[in-house]
Amino acid sequence: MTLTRMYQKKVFVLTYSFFRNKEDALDLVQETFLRLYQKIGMFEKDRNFEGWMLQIAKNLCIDYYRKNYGRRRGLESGRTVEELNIADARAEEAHSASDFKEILTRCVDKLAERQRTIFIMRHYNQMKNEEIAQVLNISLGTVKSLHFKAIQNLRALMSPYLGCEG
Amino acid sequence: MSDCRSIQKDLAAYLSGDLSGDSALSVKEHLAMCPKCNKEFENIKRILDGADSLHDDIRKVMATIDWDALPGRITRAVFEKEESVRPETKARTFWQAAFQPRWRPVYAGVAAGLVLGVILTLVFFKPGALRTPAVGAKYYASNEVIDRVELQMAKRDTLDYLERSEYLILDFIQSSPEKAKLLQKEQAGLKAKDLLSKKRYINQQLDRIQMAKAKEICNQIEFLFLELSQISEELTVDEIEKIQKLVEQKQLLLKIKLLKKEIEESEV
Repeated sequence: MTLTRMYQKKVFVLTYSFFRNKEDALDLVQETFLRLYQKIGMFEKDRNFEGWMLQIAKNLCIDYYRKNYGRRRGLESGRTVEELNIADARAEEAHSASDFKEILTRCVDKLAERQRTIFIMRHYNQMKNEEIAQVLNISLGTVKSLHFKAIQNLRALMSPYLGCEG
Repeated sequence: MSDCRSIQKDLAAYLSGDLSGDSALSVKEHLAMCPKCNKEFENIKRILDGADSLHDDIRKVMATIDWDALPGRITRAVFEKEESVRPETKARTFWQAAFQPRWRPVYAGVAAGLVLGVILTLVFFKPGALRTPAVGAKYYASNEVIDRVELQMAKRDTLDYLERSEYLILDFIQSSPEKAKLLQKEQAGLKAKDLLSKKRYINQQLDRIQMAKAKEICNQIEFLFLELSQISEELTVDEIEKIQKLVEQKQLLLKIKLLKKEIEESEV
């Protein structure tokens, strides 16, 4: 119970960042703690507990995303990112901040899995590179490299909307 | 500009604060004098600012959640899941424990033992191994193993009979006729009767093991014991002395000793 109180918000931020759907995010928080209680005997003392917990949450998010989310999000809008971009660019209207965020989140969804995870952790969760490296069990250099690639790809994906060559 | 490409590569790191002091300074100086790179800087900044602003959106969503109720909900879910999983888990745990790889040699040994047992049972108790009793036969052995056991027992019984007879006869012939009379009255008579009943059983055994010599000697012993058991008070000392001499003449004790040795050494 105390463990849940301490970490529930942190886990929620991660799960919500992946899905941007409150109910799904809460289900994933619950699933994370269920898994945590089941695996608590496997926790190694010298490991960072928070990092281990977020790793469980991240793995569950990726599994859930693969099974359900990618397709559902496309179906919700009925339009692909490219269609949105072209339509927005042709409209030549002043776009609101919410439109920009919507396009950005859909572009983030199109990133490769590791790039997307690192981008979400870095910007939505506001985690430091060191923390991300620990949670994902990869080197700091890899985190920086994947983050850089994520930004490059987002820049390319959003170029029509930004109104300049990529 | 010649270094615009390398500057643009560093823009994301520069905006994320991942560049070292010197590199960050050179990017800053370049941006101040390059409109093209500056425009690119603005675009990337817009993306990153947009991404960071999503964090604020998350905060707003979080404000709508009852965080005090969530731990209870999670705890209930944990217990419900454990309850639903427990019986299956217990069963699985038992079977998992029972079929752990480390028990496999034991199971293999037990299985091999069972197979061997079945084979041996079939070999020893196969229909052909059973002997059909002959019509009118007094007895029969069920198979070779039982035959061997019975012969061993017969051998032992005969030796026992001979040994006891030997002692009794020794007592009888070594005593004076007067004493022998008294002896046979008190003990020898009873012992002789006991040995006579034993002889009836021994007869069958001797027939069985086909030891004609043994049977002849045992018959002589039987005759003697018959005499002894029937000795009455009317029997005179002379008569007893006569029987003692008869035993000595017939070298009954020597015969018994030889027979014992022969039986002991024989492969029945």
